[in-house]
Amino acid sequence: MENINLKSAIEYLAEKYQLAKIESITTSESTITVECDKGVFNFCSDFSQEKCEGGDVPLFAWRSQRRYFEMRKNLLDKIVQDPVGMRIKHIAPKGTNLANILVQEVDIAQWILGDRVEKVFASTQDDYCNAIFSTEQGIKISAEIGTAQTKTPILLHEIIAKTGVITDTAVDTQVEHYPIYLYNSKGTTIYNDVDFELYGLSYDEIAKVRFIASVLAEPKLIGELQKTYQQAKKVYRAAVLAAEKLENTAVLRGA
Amino acid sequence: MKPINVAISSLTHAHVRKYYTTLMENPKLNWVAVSCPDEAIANHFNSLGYGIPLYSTLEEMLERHPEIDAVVLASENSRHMEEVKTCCQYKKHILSMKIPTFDMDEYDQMIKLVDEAGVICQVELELHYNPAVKRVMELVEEGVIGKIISFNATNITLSPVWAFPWQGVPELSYGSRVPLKPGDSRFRGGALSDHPHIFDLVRWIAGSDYNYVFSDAGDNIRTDLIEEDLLYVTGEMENGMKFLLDPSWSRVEERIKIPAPGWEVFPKRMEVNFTIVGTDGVIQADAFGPNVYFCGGPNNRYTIQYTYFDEWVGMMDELHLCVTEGKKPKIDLRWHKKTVEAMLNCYESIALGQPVFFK
Repeated sequence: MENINLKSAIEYLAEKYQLAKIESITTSESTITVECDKGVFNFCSDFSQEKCEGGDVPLFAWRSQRRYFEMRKNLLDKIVQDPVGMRIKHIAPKGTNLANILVQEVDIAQWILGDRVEKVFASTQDDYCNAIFSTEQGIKISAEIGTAQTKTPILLHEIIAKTGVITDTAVDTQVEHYPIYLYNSKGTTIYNDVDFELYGLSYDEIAKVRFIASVLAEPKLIGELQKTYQQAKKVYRAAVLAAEKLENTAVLRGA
Repeated sequence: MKPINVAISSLTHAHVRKYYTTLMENPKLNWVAVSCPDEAIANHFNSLGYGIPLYSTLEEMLERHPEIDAVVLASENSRHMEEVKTCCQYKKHILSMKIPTFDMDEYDQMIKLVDEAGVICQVELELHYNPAVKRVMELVEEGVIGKIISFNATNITLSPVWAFPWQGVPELSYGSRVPLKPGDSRFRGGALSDHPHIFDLVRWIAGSDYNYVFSDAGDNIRTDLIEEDLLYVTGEMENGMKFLLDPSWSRVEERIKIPAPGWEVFPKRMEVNFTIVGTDGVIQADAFGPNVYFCGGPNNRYTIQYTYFDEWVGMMDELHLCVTEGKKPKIDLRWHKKTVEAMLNCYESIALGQPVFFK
């Protein structure tokens, strides 16, 4: 595609794969609104919002990133079985909302593990949080989540199971792996091109477009996404409470 | 958007499974039929549940389905000539696997047949539809690393011969039984015959054709294989750009009949990596990165799993475009011929123990 952008990419996939007839797409800082023959959908990436209902769809774009998709698939295909632990590291650039990172990482963990967090202990300092989550099936998740003086996120996801380990970071290297490195007198530049069909979009934009396309293909997913969002918000609130009281805190159930 | 009707002839090529997914998912393509003379492979295909009509010969399939626009020739290399003839006779467009033939007389016949029939013959070199390769090409064209001094690449994989036995039979993979070198009991048709991609990319990166190649083959890792499985290639392009290539089957595998989890023994099945050295910098790239790493079933081994492997999406979009708009494929028989000639010269170099210059 020539001159691809987020809107044209959504339109392209919707038309090519006959997902929906797009009428309009508008974007703001935290919302992408798609009007189409299947309805009006507000894809929201500001997870500080309390409500997520009607046509609101939490923009859980990471579910369309292949690294998480493959990790989850390894569990679904029983290549690795019976997870007992998970390690998460997500240190984002300063200015990123802690609630956003926490909701993201809780969803990644729950989606990959097929489980739900029911208890959390957390300690926080400003916009940094160390936490240990417990799931309904007893899986323990250690998470270091927050912001720091970094230009790019520092990420690690590792699942420890009875029959093996899955990780998205090259073993013992500490650093994230990218497809392309350019070395010259200006320093080292990385490129993260992972999608030929959407070539030209950034890594994050590709994930957003793919996620939106997946929802347009199956709008019935929205109800479950909204429920998951509300539940992840409860985990966030439990983490805040746990940090205030320094108590292992149950995640509220129900509406 | 009018879809095109696509069929697959034979189901024996290692890449054929990728077409199943692409043909099911891409609405530009209407998967009409398959043909497969091998009963066991046909039974396996039927067990996958696609519900696509299956015929025992290409001719029968084309007779029964005159609506077919294009045929993917997913057969062993030795059958390509015969299948190109049949497709041209029925005026069907062709998507050929990566080696149309190593016989240059046959190759010229294919070009003539395709021209006379007025059909398109696209050759499957899927790395052209890989996002990392596209980025690398752009960076090189933009001159960010200056003039290219050397292009070094690996296309190293496990050996597919246990799952796709024809690749271990010189007559089927190379087309005839030609000794690898004097006094050597092995024959042409192994790892080199399986890996044309980097020989093609050298030409794109350089914007130039080959000046010479030198190649040498080591002892086999798999001592029961009668074709080469480890070799290195170096040389120079006409514009002076050097290259160093590794097209080996140097990653060890389990000898299973159907590719599945646990196929790899070495932790990664395939490494297509580049180091491009220029006067102003260096590019390093992994065509299939980033990766996910696990230790798990079925053999409880550490495994590196690439997260990009979708080149067939772009490639089949191009086939659709070429068929519907009469465009010339990026990789057609004429372009690809010089790549196949380079591979043949590598075999010649191994036999001679000396570099081979192109005329």
